[in-house]
Amino acid sequence: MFQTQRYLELLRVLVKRNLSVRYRGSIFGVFWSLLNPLIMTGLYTAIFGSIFAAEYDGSIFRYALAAFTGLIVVNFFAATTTQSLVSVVANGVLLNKIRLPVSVFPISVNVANLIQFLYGPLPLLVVTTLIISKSLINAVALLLPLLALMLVSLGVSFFVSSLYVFFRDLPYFYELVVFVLWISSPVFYPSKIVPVQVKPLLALNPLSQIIESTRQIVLSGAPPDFGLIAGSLVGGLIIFGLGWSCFQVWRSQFMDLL
Amino acid sequence: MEVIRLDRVSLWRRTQEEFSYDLKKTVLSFLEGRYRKPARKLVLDQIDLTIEAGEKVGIIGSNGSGKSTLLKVISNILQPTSGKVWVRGSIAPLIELGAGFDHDLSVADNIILYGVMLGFSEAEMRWRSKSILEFAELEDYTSAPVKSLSSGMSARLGFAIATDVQPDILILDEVLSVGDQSFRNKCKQRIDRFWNTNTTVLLVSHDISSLRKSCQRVIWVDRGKIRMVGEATDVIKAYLQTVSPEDDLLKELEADEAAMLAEISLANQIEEEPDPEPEEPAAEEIEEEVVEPELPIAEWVIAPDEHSGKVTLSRIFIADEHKQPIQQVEFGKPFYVGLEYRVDEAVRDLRVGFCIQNEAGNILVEANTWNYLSPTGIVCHLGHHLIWAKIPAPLLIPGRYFIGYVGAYEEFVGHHHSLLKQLMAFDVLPIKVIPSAENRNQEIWFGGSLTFPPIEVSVD
Repeated sequence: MFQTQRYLELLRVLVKRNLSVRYRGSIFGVFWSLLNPLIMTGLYTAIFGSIFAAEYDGSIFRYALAAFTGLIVVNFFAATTTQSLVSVVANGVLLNKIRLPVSVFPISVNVANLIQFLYGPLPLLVVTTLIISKSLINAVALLLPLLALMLVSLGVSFFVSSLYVFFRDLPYFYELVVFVLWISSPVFYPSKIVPVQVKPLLALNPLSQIIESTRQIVLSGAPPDFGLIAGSLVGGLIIFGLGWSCFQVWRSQFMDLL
Repeated sequence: MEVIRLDRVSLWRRTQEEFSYDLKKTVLSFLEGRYRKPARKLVLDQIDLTIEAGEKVGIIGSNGSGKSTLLKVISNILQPTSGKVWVRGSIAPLIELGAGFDHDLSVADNIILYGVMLGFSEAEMRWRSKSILEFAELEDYTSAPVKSLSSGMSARLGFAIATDVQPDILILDEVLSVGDQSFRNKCKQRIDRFWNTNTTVLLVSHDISSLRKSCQRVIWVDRGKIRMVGEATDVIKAYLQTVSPEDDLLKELEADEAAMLAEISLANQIEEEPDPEPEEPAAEEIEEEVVEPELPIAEWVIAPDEHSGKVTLSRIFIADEHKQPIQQVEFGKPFYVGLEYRVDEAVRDLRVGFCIQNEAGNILVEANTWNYLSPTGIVCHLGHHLIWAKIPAPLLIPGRYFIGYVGAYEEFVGHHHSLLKQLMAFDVLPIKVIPSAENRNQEIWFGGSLTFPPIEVSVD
């Protein structure tokens, strides 16, 4: 009990540090984080909008919304895992001085990004959902693919942050991995255009399911498709389980290399 | 009571030097079939150790012998590969201060961050931050980011946070060399405070002479094994004989040995002696002041040897205003300290006297023949003396005090000093203050005062 309390307190302080370093106490800081996906959405819409509009009932605006939902999911994942990657090693000196639970570092990065997400992109998504589907169920169901996204991010964060302890050139490789995930996620193109032979490969990308599910809830106007939600949640749980197991198994060797 | 116990603790660690830290190279060597499992090294080898509550233990050993690793195992930062570590109570690590700071955050936020990492709650740290800032002398920098502080300032901050709460076990790894001289003194005082209480202290230091003074027990770690554990002087001597037989400290130690042994046996004598205050006969003897000296309760030995045995301390005691020996003093009443001794041979520039210490070990009063007690009077002459020193009232706040004996003689170069602490204890009893119009029967609030001398206050 005492341990849990201490852990949560530590987590809270670390999240606060993370956010306050990012924004220096500015309330507008959170909105700043929307700038990137908005600009990217504008860019994609300007370049691909007219080509892909046909896939979105001929509406460029719908394409923009689809691109935006895809972007914020991939952005969240890329930013969170990239920051988590260094989190254990960056606190290595500290871990050598004070007894601390190692997992708190990647988790705090995830929680800080989640909070940022809750203040910035999420309200936009909820408002869009309410306008398009006029259903509260859709707005609530939106939390489920978000949960799946959290699980994927946490799992990958655990995996890369522990792997980075052993391999310090990992960031170069991970950059490539993020890029592959980015391109293989249907962010700026509709998944329909992908050739049938390649599709199974793309299905391996855990983010695709989440993006598809989010889009279905936000943009289709239909009731939530629980098949898609379940798919993304199962994917999330698997990734989380794998990442967490690797982290637990390798943790005993961390201290020798930090 | 045991606070730390290590049972056959061994630790294997991967050696960092050999490790490539490189995914590309590892994958390539794997493909070429040259991949080897990383080598591991035995850093701690079957360590058995028990430390009792309140012990001050020093750890010595050459670089890379496993001293810091041992501390890390005790602090539970490293888990042993085999064996058991058992620790009771809170541990405050004081290893390289300031390691936990986020340089972009303000001083105030860092206090909370660092404190929470050390295991305190956020609310508690908020409450403590005032006294921490005060101690670190950084009140004016509360909202400044830590990166704007000088390295000395941030070390001060680290020290202040880690020592604001008295831990059960304090771990010191070469930390006192921070800050300017005045802050170093301040740190030393705070550490001394821990030293005088029941805090268990583990200290790693290369300053062996200070280690010898401050620790009772020393552990010598050599290539992951405990080579020797025991009384500080013995272990240090053995260590120096092996490591650097030409060390000055070793020579000094050997030279001092005779004198030190004498002092130790002297201290034992005092302890074994029954109550140094005989009840009725004492009163008569004192008044006549010419009695046969009783059995000496202590020989005052001044190093080096040639002066030992020249001055003999017979009795030290306290007495009331009428010079009647007493055990306790009421607050607000003056009392006497009586010192009976014999000078057998003239000692040049003799300095004798007594001191009164409080429980924390601070010397509150030191009266000797160079200040209060006249150097030209009888005190240094040959023969048997009884001197009375009147301690005015009020001075000592209620509590337990110790009277010690101070002796020294001056040579042309330097001086030799001998301090016998805690020869006898007495209590100052709390009483209600003499009632007056202003304070009707209230107890005085002493605040943080160590003493309470009369202060005259006037208003213009």
